[in-house]
Amino acid sequence: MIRKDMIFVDVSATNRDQVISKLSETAKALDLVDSKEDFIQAVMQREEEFPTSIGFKVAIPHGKTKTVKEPFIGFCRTEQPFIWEQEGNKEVSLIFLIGVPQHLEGTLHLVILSQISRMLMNEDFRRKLSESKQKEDIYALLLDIENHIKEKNEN
Amino acid sequence: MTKKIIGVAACPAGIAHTYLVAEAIENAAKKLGFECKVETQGSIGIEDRLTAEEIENADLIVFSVGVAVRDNERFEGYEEKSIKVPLHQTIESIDQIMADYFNK
Repeated sequence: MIRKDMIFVDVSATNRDQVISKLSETAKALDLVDSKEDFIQAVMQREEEFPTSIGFKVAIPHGKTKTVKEPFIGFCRTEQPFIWEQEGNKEVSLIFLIGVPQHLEGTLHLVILSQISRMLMNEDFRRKLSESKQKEDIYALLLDIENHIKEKNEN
Repeated sequence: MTKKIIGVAACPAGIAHTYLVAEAIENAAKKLGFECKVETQGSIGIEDRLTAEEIENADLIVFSVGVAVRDNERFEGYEEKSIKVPLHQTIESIDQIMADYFNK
């Protein structure tokens, strides 16, 4: 579920739309979604109900929609923090974009997503996301969570 | 006696916030030296389901939910020791809210 080509570090984006668009475009290129536009629409609808910036410079936009073919999580770290949306006025530089199909068989992917969500409350984990120099380091960090859960699942 | 905190976490998509707030409640309880168990009602289903005994014995029940609580009747009669905390507030300041609750 964790893929290196869905991880971006030090992106020059300065607003929410740019980040969501960049990650969604990559998801489309990797055939994880049928339609980039439909996916973005689902994500933005969720944002409008309630923005997904959670503090600590983190945002977790997500879309649960039938245009998602395979569950995925993308990550983008921006060069500079930016205001996620005016009302909440929260600075963000670490963004996880999550895509989940409307009807998902099995729970393994959801368990991985739930564990990454839990890890975001961990200061040390966030520091590693902020300070890792290369995307390979972040990939290793996330892959470790995935492998750990897969192992647990097999036992 | 160590305070016993229990919580219920749930959000509309059941993908991320449910688990963020569960972790936030658990971390805050740990920091304050309290016992803690949080039931998550997410897209995986109900995990760490609270038993009648745990509900009865809890000193505080934290509801951090953005949707209706499943099997809500379990918590009837315990309104006096229940608090509702919005998802974002839980992530930001549940430690302070818990500390204040026991210091009032």
